[in-house]
Amino acid sequence: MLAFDTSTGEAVVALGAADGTSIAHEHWPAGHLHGERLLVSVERVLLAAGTTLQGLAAIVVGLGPGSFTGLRVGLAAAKGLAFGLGIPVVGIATPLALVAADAVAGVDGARSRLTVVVLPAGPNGRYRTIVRCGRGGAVRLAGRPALMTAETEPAIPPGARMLALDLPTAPGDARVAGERARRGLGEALLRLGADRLAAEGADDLAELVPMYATLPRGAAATGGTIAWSPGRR
Amino acid sequence: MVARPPLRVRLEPMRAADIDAVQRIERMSFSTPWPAYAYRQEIETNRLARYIVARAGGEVVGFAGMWMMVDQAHVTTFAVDPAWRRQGIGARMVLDLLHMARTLGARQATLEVRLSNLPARKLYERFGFRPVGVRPRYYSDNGEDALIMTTDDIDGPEMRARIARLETEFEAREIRTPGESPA
Repeated sequence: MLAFDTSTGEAVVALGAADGTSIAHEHWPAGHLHGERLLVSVERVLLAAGTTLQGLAAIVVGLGPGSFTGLRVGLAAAKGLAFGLGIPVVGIATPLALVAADAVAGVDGARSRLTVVVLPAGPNGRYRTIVRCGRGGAVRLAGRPALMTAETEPAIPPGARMLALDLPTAPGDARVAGERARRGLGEALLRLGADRLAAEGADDLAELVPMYATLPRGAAATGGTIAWSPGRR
Repeated sequence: MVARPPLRVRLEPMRAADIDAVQRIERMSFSTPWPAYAYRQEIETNRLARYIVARAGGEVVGFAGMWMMVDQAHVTTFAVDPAWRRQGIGARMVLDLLHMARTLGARQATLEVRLSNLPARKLYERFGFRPVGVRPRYYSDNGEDALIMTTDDIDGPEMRARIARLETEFEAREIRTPGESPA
């Protein structure tokens, strides 16, 4: 299985066995270069593990919320590879995988019942997603992800902890949890993807859409349909 | 006036030193020109990208680019200096892109073109690109649809024969400096 996430400031590409066990992975600062870097990174990870695209059985992709450019490229690459190779694709909400990764890290508090995942939404906004972590590390979204403004500190439900990524002004322990989760994001995507594939089967290529946190000015989004950027050939 | 000898067209990888000339042709050819830094980034950091220029007598008279993605070559840009058009320079560039794509292991080449750009559509059709779909309102300046054109297997017998035939035709073709009447 091949998993990647392009929704945060660092892109993750991971290769795993069919049961989700990690074999090889890499991280790189994403910037806005997902389009030119993602496939090169995929090829490098496959090469490191001595395999090829033809050896893949499934694709797992992080759905965000997060980077507009990153998610467009990530979802398009995941769908293109799955379609071209004739293999299933599974989309996983990135906050779910982050909390699953942090829970596996096994530090104190990592198995709090509720975790508030806070991610940047454009230069000034923040996206808040509440994730419930059950016994055995099972994770699920508790409610819909919500867009916050810079002025609104995310409301933390009683007993919940915070996990923040790419937010230098977030509380220290939230950022530590975020970095810890980021290191395990690839493995968590592989594991959650394998579980989802076994339990519910693949996602529909035509229906799978990213969770955009913000849209560029002027781009209208409805159900994953966007206006094309300027400068197309 | 003494007629100069016919020129040969040479195709070479685009270099940073070519970008000024590329920009001049770019602005004459496209309603939403790409900035110089976009070309710099494509040729300096993008490992998927391959860009070429066509030279006639040392002067850059056309350019083209593509991205190699897995087994597909995607043409990203393509332009010939308006003064040098209709002499087979575009044909030579398509041949060079297809040759490069095949060498790099591509199974097919694909591109988007404005529905209204009939000269370009004709050129691509001649080289085995066929309409396979439409991207609605792809071009933001006027909301025009893009036609998606894709080749059959570029290593298959049909495409090989087509490319070989066109190579023979266009490599023999002589190019003249604009404004010069045939001798």
